[in-house]
Amino acid sequence: MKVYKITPSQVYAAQTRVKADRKLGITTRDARVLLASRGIAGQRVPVEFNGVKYVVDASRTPSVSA
Amino acid sequence: MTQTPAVEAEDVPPDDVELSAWQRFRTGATTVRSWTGARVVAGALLGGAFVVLVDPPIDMNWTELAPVINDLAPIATLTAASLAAWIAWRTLRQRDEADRRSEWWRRAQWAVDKSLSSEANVKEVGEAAMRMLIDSPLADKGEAELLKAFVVDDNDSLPDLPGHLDTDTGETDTGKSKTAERTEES
Repeated sequence: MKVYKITPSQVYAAQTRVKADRKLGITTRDARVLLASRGIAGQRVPVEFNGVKYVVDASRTPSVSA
Repeated sequence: MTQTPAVEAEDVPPDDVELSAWQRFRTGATTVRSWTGARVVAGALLGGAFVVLVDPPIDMNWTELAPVINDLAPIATLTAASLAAWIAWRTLRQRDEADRRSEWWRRAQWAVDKSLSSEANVKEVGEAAMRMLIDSPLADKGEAELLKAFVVDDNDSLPDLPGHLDTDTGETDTGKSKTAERTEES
């Protein structure tokens, strides 16, 4: 399982971008943004994205695995 | 590790749903173009009144019609009063909407100013405010696009996906925003 380490702020930013893109009639294609938007600020959550299993690590602690 | 993501990209509530004419009317979002129909109706009524009063197509016996017109007078008064009240209400709604949009723009300016700060904490507050303002119903498409141009930059700091070559998100996806591409080109 691949770990995608981001910050809580980046989770909010990615979710906002996806929502803003929809508001503008655009489909978000940036894979990083789509994956980050599925995270939860402050937590590590497993996410399956495009058939690949990730752990979106948006915790405030440094990543322990890679 | 058993938690499921709270927010799926596909589950984000659709904010781009077109409002119906009635919803636009209720929320005061009726545009100038929406008044075209009202103008047509008003023109037809005025034209009809002109034909009947000035150049009637048939000989009208006004003596017989007078009592009927007299009976309809209260209804005409009520209609005129209702129309005046409706126009006043519409004016108030539009003024309120304009005031709220003006305040939205002032908040947007404040958020942009803060997001350009060199202090990390101030910058973060400004960016958070911009994200909230984009989702506001007061933001039209152009204004949301303007704010989004600032917020998108925040995503440029996202790390590349581990094993990103395995993911296919579309032929035009570069994994980076237009801003990042322009920065690399320059």
